[in-house]
Amino acid sequence: MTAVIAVGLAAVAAWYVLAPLRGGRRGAAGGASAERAGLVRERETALHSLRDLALDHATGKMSDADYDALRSRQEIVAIDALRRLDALDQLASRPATREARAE
Amino acid sequence: MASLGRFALLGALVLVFYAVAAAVLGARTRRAAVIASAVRALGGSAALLAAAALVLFVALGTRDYGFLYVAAHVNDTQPLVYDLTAFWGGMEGSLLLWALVLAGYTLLAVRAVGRTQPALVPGVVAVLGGVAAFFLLLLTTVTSPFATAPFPPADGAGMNPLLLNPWMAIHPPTLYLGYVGLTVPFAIVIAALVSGHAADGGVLLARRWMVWAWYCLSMGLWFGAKWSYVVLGWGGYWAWDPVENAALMPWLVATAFIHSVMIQERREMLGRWNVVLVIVAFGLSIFGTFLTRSGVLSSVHSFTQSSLGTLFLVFLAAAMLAAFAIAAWRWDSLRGRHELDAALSRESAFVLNNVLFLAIALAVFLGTVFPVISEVLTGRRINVGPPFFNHVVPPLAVGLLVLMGVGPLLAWRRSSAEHLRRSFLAPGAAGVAVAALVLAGGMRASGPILVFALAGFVAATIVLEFIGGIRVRQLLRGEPAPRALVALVARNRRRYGGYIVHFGMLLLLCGVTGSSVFATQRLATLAPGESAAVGAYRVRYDGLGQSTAHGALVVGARLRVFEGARDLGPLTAGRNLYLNGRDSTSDVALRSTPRDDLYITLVGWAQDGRATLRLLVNPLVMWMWAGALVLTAGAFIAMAPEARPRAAAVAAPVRVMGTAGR
Repeated sequence: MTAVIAVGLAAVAAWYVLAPLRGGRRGAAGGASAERAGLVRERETALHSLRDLALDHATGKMSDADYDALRSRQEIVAIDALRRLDALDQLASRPATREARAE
Repeated sequence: MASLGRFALLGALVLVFYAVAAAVLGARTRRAAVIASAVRALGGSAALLAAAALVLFVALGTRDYGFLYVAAHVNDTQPLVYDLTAFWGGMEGSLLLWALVLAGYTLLAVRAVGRTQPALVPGVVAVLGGVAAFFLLLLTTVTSPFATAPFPPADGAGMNPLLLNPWMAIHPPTLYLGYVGLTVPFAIVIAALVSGHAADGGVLLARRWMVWAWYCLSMGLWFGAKWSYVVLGWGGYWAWDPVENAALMPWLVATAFIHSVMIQERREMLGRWNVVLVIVAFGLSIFGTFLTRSGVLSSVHSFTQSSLGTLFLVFLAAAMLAAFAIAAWRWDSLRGRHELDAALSRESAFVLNNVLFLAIALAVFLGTVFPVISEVLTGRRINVGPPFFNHVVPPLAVGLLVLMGVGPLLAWRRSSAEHLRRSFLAPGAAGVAVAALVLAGGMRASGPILVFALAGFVAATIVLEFIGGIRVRQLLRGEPAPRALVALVARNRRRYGGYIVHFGMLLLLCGVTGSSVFATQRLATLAPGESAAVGAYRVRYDGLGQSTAHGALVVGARLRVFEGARDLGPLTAGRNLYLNGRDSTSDVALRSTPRDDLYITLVGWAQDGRATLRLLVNPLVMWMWAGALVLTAGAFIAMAPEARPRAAAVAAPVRVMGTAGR
């Protein structure tokens, strides 16, 4: 009985684990989605930092000059991430737009 | 059923080997299907481990003495709940628990990393699979929980009676959640280094996992201290035992990381340092298991000793060697973009804080392994013991206490003298006021006065931080104070959660100081009707009673406690004598108040009815337990995901200033 259960479990495990390989997908790992996820993270970290800096400045812990310098840098990071995200999104939407026009 | 458990473990091992191989192949060939297959293999391995755990739970719950593990840790008189907690009461079960927890973390980590940094998934799968493979190899080839006896005994041996306690039921799994949790940030960082993503978010991604592991370690240490206090009957909660130290060391390193990673986030500095901290924290978690399992050092946890220590040491050496080699390979990419601008800045405070945490960790490490080092070098085993730790650690801890207060007051980049003077005035006055108060109360020892004064200083800085934030919101948004407070914490969870954690640590430090410096105790042999005074209390002994429970003869001394003329009620101090003739445990008579604990143990008794009692008054112990609750609240606030900041803040920076604390 135990042997039957074991063989059954092994078969189910093999079927489950090897399923992605049967589909014959040859797509590259990561790719655009990885880049997008990285950019989203970069943007959000920069935005959180900006909010934190604003709180420090508003509570008088930071001089105006230091606040401006730190804020500028975080803004550059955030804007850069936003621009690259926009570019990525535009690139992704192009084929769909062409298809829509064709219809 | 045992063969089903063995098969499940073997299947899990095969699957993690496959997962590691497929992850490496998938990363090299950049084939998503192969990586997806590796991830599924880890899922399958987790399912098989869950099945193996279920088999062991059923065997424990049904007292199936055909399992050697069950026969060694369960008996017919043991309450059912402890039959089940025997899962982690022995070595084989503990290792299975470790593998199971790691499998659960692996599923969560792969999912989370896949959402935010998919490029790291193959590396994370390979590292977590590699660690899982080590534990599964132990479980399948060295020490199986599913070994069976050809002739099952009629009754089992049962667990060590010291373990039959609710605190010990939850202490090991909580500690394991912390120990094993340190594997996830390690895997993320190694994956980030290998894939070349360490500089762009890999280390930062490890932060939340590290905070969770840190919290679990904190609770594990706390539960262990509580167990020691109420079960071992010596009146203390921390003995600098090697196994206690083993859990403290990764906690210290994780705490250092949680602080230093903030500098990496804000200033893109200390990237290398943070990588080293993550690797060391993981190494110390394996080292802790080595200490617990090897029996290389004598410990109150000696019930866990085995010959597995060497295997752990080999695994630890291989893992550290590989991790540091990978870090060295990517060392240049971890170079920070900025340097410290001024000695007086928040960054400097964090760096100093890290130095102190690491200094304490190093002192604890050296003190813990010194007996082994001395034996290797001189042939004589020299134990340094609590006096060493009690001399070295407190000054460093006081330094950390100072930084806990100073850090939040300092500005990023640099602080001006004027800013410092303004910021330190009120908290400094609070510290002086507390010092004056305790002096007026009769305290004369300089060390404790300093600790309490600094605690007052730090508490004031925390309160002022909250008030400052509330005021900003009131000014900018016109919110009433309670609403501003809730919004402030909700919108800045990491910062204010962190302050609440600091407040919990303050309570803990005050409790430790009060109970370790001002404890009083006496030994008294009393005839029925006689009384003994200790501290502000008078304890009357009213005679002995006997009963039986769970395979033990329970001898209890009936006591009545008075404070002045006030009757505070009855207490019973007992001793459990187990019928196997080997074991005995204490039932401590405990009366806890925020001011102090009255702690009484029954040391012995005579035929004529006289009893010898050990009476202790431990001040402020309750503050420690309260501190852990506050720490929990702060940790959960800090771990909760922050509200997503609005992207508009970047496009219109002026509005950011106008929405401070938003």
